[in-house]
Amino acid sequence: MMNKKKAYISYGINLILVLALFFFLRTLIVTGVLNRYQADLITLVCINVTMAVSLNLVTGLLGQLVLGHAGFMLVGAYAAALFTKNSSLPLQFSLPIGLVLAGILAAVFGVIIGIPALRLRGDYLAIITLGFGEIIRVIANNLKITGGAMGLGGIKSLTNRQHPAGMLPFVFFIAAVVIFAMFTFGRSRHGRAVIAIREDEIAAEAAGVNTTYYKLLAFVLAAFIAGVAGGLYAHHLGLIDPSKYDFNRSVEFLIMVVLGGMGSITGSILSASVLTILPELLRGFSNYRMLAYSVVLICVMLFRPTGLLGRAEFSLSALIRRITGKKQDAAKGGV
Amino acid sequence: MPLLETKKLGIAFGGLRALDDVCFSLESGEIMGLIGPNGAGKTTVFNLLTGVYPPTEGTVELEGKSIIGKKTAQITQSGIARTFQNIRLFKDASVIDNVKTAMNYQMKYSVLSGILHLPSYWKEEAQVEEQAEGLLDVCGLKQYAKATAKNLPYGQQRKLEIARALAANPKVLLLDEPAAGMNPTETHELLETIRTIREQFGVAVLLIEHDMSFVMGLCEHIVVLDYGKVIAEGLPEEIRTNPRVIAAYLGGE
Repeated sequence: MMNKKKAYISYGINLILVLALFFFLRTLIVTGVLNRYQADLITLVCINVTMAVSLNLVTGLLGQLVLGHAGFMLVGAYAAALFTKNSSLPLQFSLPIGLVLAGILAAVFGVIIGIPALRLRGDYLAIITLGFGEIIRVIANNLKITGGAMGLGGIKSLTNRQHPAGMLPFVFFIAAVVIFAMFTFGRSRHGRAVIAIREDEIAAEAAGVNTTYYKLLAFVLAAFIAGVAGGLYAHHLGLIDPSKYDFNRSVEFLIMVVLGGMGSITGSILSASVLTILPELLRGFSNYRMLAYSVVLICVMLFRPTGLLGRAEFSLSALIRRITGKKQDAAKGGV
Repeated sequence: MPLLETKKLGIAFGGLRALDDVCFSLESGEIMGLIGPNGAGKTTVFNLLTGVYPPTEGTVELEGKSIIGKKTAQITQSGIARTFQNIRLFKDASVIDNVKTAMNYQMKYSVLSGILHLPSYWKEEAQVEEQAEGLLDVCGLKQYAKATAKNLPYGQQRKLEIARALAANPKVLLLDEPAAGMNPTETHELLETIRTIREQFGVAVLLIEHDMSFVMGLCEHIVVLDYGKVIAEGLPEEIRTNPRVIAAYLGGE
């Protein structure tokens, strides 16, 4: 456990940095330095970071391979969109409520799928969750309320010509809160129990950890966050197309987690950002775009098999310590 | 009433009777040895005591209450903690976190207090930190508290397993070959540690071990298993001279 005072100082510094980053981005968008396309990209980065960090809870911390995370996102997308479409409240108020509903509904699905699925591990769990993700998508494709294969259109967004940064506070601060919650969760007794299950389930059970409960807890928490991210995504795009939440999408999130380093939150943030922006930067190469993207993935896996950050976390104070420490060492060496 | 008692305990894996009619009892604060040749069923006894398998017959009672049908985690919480023959630590976690994990069930703060770092989080974490440090101190691991578990030397890893089991606040401590792979100095240190643990925590210890001088020097009572059956039981001196035990180990006529 960290020293209480130190912890609060570090949280305070991070809060200031996060606020500064928010106002910086907002100013850039509002003043038109970043165009609409770039602003959309920032929104997308925030949503993908939220998704990657939530999947990291299950895959990185709990150590279970999940291939249906986009399914929870889809549940959340429909829940939030249907609520805001049918609500008479202005969107500023109906969106937060819709997002909470989205999270809760996705969490309910998490419980339903989690109870049978979490009896299995590894490859078996991966296949069950894959199946679940596809079932959700197929159901959404065939129900009337979800708009069938046509999807659900006409979802209002807070971003428009007058407010180019309308969605930014939502996507940005939700991402920030989720990241904070994942950090503190990892440092709590619940986080220790989840990590213990990843390390050795039999030993965790023998140490008195209720493994069923903690597996379900991590799974449902991740589903909740994915549901919220789905709600944001629906309101960002303005329509829901079920085919956008298929198996490939789930794999995309998994790649973000693996590439960043399983179990590293900052790694997930980094790789989710890079993997969202990289395909856009590569648009210049048109036909070779996906090829270059794949080559980057292969190279990272070859040279950093544990992912960009492994299980380590990027920390400002550690960086400062390292820089100043190195200087001290150099001074000693000089004498 | 004995602290832990098994009656007519038996388990069959298909046609193989791994244990048959195993009866023994452990008094509180006692150190008992469970010995026998390889494949005698010693670890299976531990697995039955901790709910890894349900026995096909017989009962296990802790303080007069049956623990049959309970899950491993529940049994640990009700007072039987174990270590493993092949070390099973949380390798990538720190030494102190390994110990704290076993204290998890004794902590109360909610998921939300954990995430928001509410006062109950700080209070309980501080308590657990202190307790965990105390345990590491007893087991001679205090200097390694912040180290990653997998980086500890082998002997220290074995001690960490004991520390983790103790952190679950057990009444009975089951040690599966605690001295395996240790040199004589380490074994002697371990013997002292186990004695200290018994004094300080008042736990009863049931241990499986092949090192006879270790068993004879430490245990007050010994149960000998062979082919899933108890072939002898008694004081160390009696076991040493028991012809059936000698025959089981060395082969008889």
